[in-house]
Amino acid sequence: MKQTIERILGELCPGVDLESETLIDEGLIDSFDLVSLVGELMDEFDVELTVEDLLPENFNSVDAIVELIARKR
Amino acid sequence: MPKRKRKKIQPPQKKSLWAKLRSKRARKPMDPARRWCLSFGLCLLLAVLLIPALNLLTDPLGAFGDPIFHWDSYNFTQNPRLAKVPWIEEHFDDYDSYVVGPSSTSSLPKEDLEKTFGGSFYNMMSYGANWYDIENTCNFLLDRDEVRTLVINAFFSTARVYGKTETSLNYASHPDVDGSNRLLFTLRFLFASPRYAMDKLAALRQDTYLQQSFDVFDVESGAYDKRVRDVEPIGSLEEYLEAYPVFKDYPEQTIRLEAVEEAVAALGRIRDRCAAAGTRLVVICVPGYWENILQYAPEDVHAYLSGLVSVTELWDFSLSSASYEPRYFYDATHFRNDLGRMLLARIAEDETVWYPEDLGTLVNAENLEEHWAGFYDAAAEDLTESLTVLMYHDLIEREGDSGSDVAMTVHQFAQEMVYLQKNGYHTVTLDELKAFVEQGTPLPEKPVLITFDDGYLSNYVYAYPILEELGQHAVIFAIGATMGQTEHYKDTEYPITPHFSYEQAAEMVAAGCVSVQSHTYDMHQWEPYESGGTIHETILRAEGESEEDYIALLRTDYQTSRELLEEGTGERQYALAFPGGQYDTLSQAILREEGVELTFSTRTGEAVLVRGLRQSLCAIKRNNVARGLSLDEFAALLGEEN
Amino acid sequence: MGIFSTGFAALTLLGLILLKLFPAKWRWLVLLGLSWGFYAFCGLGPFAVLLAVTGLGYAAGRRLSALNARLAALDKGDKAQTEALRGRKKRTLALALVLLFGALFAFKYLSGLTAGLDRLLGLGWSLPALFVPLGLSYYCFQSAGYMIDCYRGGVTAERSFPRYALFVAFFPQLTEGPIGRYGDLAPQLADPKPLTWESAKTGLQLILWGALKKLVIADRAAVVVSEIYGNYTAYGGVMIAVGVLFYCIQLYCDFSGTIDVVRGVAYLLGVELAENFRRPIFAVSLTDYWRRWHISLGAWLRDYMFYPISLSRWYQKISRRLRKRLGGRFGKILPTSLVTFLIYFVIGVWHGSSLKYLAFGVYNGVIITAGLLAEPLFEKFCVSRGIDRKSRDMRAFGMLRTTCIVFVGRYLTRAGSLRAALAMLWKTVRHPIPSQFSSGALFRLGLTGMDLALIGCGVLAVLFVEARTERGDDLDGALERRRGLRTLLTFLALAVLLLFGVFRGSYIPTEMIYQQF
Repeated sequence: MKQTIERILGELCPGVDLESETLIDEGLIDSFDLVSLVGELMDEFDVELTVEDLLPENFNSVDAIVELIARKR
Repeated sequence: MPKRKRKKIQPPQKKSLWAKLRSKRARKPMDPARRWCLSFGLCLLLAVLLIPALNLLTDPLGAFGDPIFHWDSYNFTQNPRLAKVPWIEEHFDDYDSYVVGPSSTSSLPKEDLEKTFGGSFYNMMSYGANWYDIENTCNFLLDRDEVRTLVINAFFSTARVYGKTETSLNYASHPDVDGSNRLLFTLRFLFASPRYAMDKLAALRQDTYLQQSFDVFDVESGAYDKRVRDVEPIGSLEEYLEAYPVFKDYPEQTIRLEAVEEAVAALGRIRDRCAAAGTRLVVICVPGYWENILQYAPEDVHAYLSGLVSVTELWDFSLSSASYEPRYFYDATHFRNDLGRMLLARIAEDETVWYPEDLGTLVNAENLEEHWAGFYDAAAEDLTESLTVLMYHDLIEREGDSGSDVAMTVHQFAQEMVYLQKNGYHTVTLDELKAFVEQGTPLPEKPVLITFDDGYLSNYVYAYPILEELGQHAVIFAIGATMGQTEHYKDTEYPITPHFSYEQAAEMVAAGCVSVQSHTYDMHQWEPYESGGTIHETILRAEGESEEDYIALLRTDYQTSRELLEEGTGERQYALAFPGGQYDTLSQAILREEGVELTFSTRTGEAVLVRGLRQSLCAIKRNNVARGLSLDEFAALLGEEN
Repeated sequence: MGIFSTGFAALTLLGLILLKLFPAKWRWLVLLGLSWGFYAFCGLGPFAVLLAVTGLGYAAGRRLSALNARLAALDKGDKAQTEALRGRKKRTLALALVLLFGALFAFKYLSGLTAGLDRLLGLGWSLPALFVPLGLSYYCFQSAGYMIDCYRGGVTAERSFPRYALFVAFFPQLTEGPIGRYGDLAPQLADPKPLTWESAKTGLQLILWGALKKLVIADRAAVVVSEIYGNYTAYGGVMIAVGVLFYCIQLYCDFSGTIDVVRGVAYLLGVELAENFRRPIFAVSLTDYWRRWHISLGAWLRDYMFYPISLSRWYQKISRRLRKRLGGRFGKILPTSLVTFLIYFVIGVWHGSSLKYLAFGVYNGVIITAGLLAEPLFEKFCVSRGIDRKSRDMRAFGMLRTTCIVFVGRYLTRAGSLRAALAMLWKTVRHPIPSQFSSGALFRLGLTGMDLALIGCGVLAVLFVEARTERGDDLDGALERRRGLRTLLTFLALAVLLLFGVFRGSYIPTEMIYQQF
């Protein structure tokens, strides 16, 4: 799953540092990318993410996203 | 760091108290935030103190005696109520009579007040004064000085409200006058907006010889400085209404007099004080523009007038035929100084000054109702006279004798003079124009004024005999520097069209048919021929010339011209034609100060003179008579219709 | 009563004294008393509106939280009951939002709208203009945010009405923003920090800096702006561009200066408000610009409009379909772009209900979408030319480009109408008449050379401070080491403020630009 997420992220924001722990806080992913990311994640993993899930701590690192998807499944 | 070192060297038991304190502070540094806050507080205090310091030093409203600039005219302009007080307190010795009232009071000229009432007058007018201000000012004057005559302007506007009407510091009064709290007064002006101070500093850099909007007072008289107003050329009504649109569409409204009772009571108290002090009290209601006067509710006006005359007699000038002549006013409530002069002449019954017959009535309790019955009867009267002023230059015997554009043949000139005589024109003199304006002496039928510029010899050789023969009169404006030159231009090798000499001028003047006046001494230069410094082709200030230098030059130039002409011809000098027709307010004002009463421009059109208005003699229009003009064209120039 | 008035200063001072006098547990009540007093003083009608909005937010919040509690207590399996409760929650929120925005609409836009319809259709009838309560938009948006937070369960509704009322009405931020979040603000308001030297320093520095920007720079620049925008027909394109430049200066200094003062006052009162500006001059793209300009509004729109709409089930369906049909990058971007358009439209409407604001929204939306579409091309271009996109030069280029885009956008927001804005743009391009500028027209716009010099020095100072802050320098720390210089600067700043700012004589203070918004 982690590779898939990294691939999606890499496509959405080329050149983004996948090791970063502060993707949202540093503005590496902006709101626009975030929405696209969530859309792709929902398609890819067939989960339902809502606005309530759009917290910085859920998207600040690839690991956090993995955790979020796992929780939502 | 150094502090620590020193501490180690010194044995602890020898520490003084100060050293102890210091070492304590060194050990425990102050919290930086606290230190910042304390320094901020200190800075704030100092910065706040800057404002009173600035206000005290620049004193933009004249509250603290203007210690540095002593610019009274500026301070008066900012706040006459305030700034005049310390000034007059220092100059009580120089004055013994005062005139008090709102700003229209300013148009009562000091010299005419003195001519009418005697004494030495100071104008204590202030912006928008009502009877509260008037009484305070009168009390202040009666308290501090032995007052010989007290003139009060009781114009209707003073009875609209009663009391302090202060809207800004520009209207605040002085504690010596209104008895307000001195401490509060000082604080208010100490902490006035620094904008006032900055405006003053900015104005200081723009100050000029003549007044500008920021220094409109003549300090010695306490009235508005009218040097500019009084030389403003005034001619036809159409032009005037164009320049002063306020008279064109005057707003319609009704003004009520809400403070008649207070006004009458205040006048009563003033009368009693004057009687006790042996002061002569004169109450004048100055003229207003008719549409303004008609705005005041008639019942209020009646109540006000009858209230005032129940206390003392009153000179009522408010509405007369003069009120219907816009040219006597520069806005609805501010009349020109010449109207002030007329009304004071009316009071003094001075025959040397013309004034409209219906100007002013001395109203008392007996004739009040009679006066009121005819109050609104005044109507417009024609107070003007128009004439054509013809302008000639050089005359030549035959066409082609001179390359100059302005030279015409003697034949053409002679024909035109004969035409004038045959058609009943009267060639008038400068004296006649002056007498019309000042004494109202009517001009002869079909008046025309003949003028020559520059002072060419041909004027003497050809024109003079023709004029003498036809019994006509002309004015020649001669350039002083070239008079009597027949060969060369000044001390150059350039040939010159010959100019007549002082002797020849004297001969013409003695014959009575020519007046020789000034065309400047040497401010009609021609650049290619001149050597030396600043060149003046006209009377205007040259580019790059300082105002001071220019004024000195203009004065010297005119004085030289005047002295030489008066010496040479024995004729009084009081007129000048502007070289090239160029003039401005400054040159007009300086010439007026030098005693020039009539000036001539080259603006074309009919000259219009207004009775009583001396400035209608400023920059009089003239029509150039071109070479080769046919008699029909000449007739058209005279305003004849075909 | 504006923020730059003696009344407001007195209110703050009174607040400080009362906070010192009262025990800690009453401090929040002091703040509420002052806030309500301030607002009631500004007008009783507006105060009634404030109370009504507060009541609505309070009641809706309580109800939503109660429903959330019932949902949580529910048995996981009870699907029908869960759905029913969710439906009720949704309806409650919808009703509350409709009421809230209905009020906002009624006060701000209704009369303008009917007048517009009247002009368009000739109905011969339009509503008279209602008073616009001070800061209405700000507290409506803040209340709406709170209700949505309650709905989402992020916050639990406030039980005490007065405590909630303070959240809505806290006076420093009531009229000019920033739009606060309940989660950040409420705990601070409940227990304002006592004044310390440290908070006094921060607060006073913010106030001083903000007042300098607003009173010395912005109010002067406003003279030029109103002259040129008001008489744009009389000026050539170069002068119009100068006017727009002054407008940019005025807008930024006015708004950010006001917010600095607001934050400074709040600091003194023991409350830390969020930043509303993060040096927008250094934005490298338009998106970046909107993240730095009026942050609290941008964040509000992002969290309460952009996310919910783009992640809603129905919109996801639409976007999936679009993606399939269009394919490629365009298909990916378009759905999100459409929401962006909507957001900028709302930003436009936030400013006023005129056609030009609609154009302003479209302008921003188009540029941002175009930027996203061009992104791969640009990337390819950079790679092929070996350009490092993170280099200083590229950042500088980005800033310049953004500045130009924002600059053009400013033609729209201040001009009298869309037509005027377009005419001004046209003139700038086609009829520059530079001779007008070189012949000194700048000095005939109502400002003296001294005023212009003050604006110039002020702008340089702002740029210097912001550039250093953007680089991450600790200016305060640097000055701490040079105390003499710092004291001198403090004194100079205060002297300039007092002599050229506070005691405006011939200046009519322009109503703060953002007040009625």
